[in-house]
Amino acid sequence: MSPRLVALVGTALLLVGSRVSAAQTLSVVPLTASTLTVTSAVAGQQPTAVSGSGGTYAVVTLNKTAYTTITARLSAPLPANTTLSVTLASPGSGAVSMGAVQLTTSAQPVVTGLPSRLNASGNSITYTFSATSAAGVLSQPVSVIFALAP
Amino acid sequence: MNTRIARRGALAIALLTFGLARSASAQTSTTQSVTVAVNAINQIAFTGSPSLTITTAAAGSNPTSVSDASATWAVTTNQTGAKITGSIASALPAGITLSVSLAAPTGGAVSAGSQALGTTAVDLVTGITKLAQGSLGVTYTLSATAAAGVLSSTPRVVTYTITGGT
Repeated sequence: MSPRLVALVGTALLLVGSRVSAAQTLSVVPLTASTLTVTSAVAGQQPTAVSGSGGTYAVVTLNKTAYTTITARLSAPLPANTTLSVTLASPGSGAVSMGAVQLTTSAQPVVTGLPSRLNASGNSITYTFSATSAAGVLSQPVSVIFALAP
Repeated sequence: MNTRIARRGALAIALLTFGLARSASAQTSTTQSVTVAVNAINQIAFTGSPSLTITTAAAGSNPTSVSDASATWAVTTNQTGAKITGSIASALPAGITLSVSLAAPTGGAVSAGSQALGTTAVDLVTGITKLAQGSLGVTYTLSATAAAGVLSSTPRVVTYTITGGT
């Protein structure tokens, strides 16, 4: 193979590689969110749910065949009689936030309609944690897995 | 010339390697850790301001006691074995007794029935476990002996306290 041909093939592959590399990324900051603590109740009613920031997320989609949805799920079930919901703000460009989505161990859409060319960061993540009186007293870390999906 | 082209080829391949390396690092999922917690919660509330007046007696007997069941109470606890106590800030005049009975919530709690209130707290409901319940009955009873004489209308504050379980 001639050196010129090597250069041309290399350049072509480089372009393909670059397109693939930038196709899609999803990241959150921080990786460890603040603790959500239920601390109060109105007498006669279930404890008051608490909401807190989960930081922000960034998403990049540059490939037409890539992902259009962000999903979220738990790595393991929550303690009994508790629920955790997450809201991801829309990254704009026509993408739609699904609002507060109650998390389970099954992936559920939290943002849909991601355009094929999107580079958005600083989009807010908000969690809401609730517990009934039957949940008792507890403290437990949980892992929330966000993913890009077709 | 060939040397320059060869260098371009090498550069391209090097950049390709870099590009593919970036490709391998493309991240389509990420995990965030969130700690969820619930603190001990013990809340009670009482509604109503009953008024009790003794007005009659059967001849030869002490005055007839009166009761009022217009007040209610509510409780939320996420602990096991919480209890409610009651007391008044200052003692009633001699011969006057104010008693209270709290209805027990569900789930195995036990009402102590009608208990005379004094400056020392008395148990009214015990064994309250992990519940949220309202509209529970409160019954006050005022009794007096003939020796108590006439008592002008005097407000009394009853203090209820919930003590958390475990």
